[in-house]
Amino acid sequence: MDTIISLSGKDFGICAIDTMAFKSFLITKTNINKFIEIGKNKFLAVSGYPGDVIQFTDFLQKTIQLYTLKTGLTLSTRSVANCIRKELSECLRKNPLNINLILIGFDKIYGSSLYFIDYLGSLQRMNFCVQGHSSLILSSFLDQYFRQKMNLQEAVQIIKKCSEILKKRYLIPQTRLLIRIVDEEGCRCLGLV
Amino acid sequence: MDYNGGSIIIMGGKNCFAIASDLRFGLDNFTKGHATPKIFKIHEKLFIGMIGLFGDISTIRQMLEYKTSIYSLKKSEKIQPFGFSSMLSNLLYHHRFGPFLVETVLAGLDEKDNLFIESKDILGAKSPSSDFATIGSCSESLYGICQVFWKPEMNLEELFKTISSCLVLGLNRNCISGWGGIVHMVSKDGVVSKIIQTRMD
Repeated sequence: MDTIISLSGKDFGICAIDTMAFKSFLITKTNINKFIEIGKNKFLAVSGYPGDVIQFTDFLQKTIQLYTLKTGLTLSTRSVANCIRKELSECLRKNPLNINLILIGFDKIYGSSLYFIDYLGSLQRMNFCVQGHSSLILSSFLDQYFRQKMNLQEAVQIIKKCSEILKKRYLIPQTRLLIRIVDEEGCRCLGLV
Repeated sequence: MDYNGGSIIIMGGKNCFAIASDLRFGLDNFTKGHATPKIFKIHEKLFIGMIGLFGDISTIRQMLEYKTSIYSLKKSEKIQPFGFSSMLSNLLYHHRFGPFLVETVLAGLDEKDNLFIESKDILGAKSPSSDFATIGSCSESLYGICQVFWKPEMNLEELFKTISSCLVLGLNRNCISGWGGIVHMVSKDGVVSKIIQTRMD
């Protein structure tokens, strides 16, 4: 049900997520921030059952913070992605969680990177990724219009176009999408689209 | 097993082998990525290909990396294909009730450059072969195709042409695999890798 659209641009990563909380067919709140920060230069966008999401991401956030405090080292995006994947693949056979994550981070050495992690523990590094039912609607659009190393304006334009397509074609009217970017200065929210 | 998709062919030649896989990563019928080879290098003369649930593939790959590193640190030599195959079978059977949903093929050259090709099922049962091996969503049709085109004692160039044509033919009729292919040609002189164009659908 959640819509997550994420792109990797030139020295930044950008992600848009809807801001709706719902319970069965009722909308309970329309202005929540579903992004989860991990360290200063990474954030997660998660979709799935709210209970599983909060349980798992709290655990992840605090584990990685503990690692940073203990060792004084900051983990790269790739390490965090593999750590998340390992936890999820162990959960698969013990207490299955139905959550799909997109991790976006910026490292000074590698630049921006985007990782898609499935509830079955599949990890893929990608240039762009759409999560949820809207992936069926938007993936082909992004295949056509995505360019490598876009600048910020182009990326926001693409997300605006995605939002218009969703308003036209997606059955469930989504609230406005909240955009967040990560670059070498850190994470910040850009606004609603 | 067909959730993430993929197909792999291994063909043996004269003291050399070629291993090829497709590049699709999908979630059932939805193609998510097209840059995911399913072949992993253990060392210059030993390659493993895995098809199945991608999370389990990554888990097994990390376990194997750990075990082969410990082996080469202890013994100061690279692991041989036969020993590696036994280790992998042990690892897979360890999870007899709750298995990793992964089928594997191994291809390697031992220290005398003799060919070693073997395929395993999800519990680690070994099936060695002397000519070729295929696993994946179109493995049945690939067996037929390879049977027609494979010849004994091919050199690397002929191997490359044969394995690429077989892979392309097999992927053309299958929607769960495809989106490009990668071929590694391995002999005692080293490894050459090439990406081949296929139908992108």
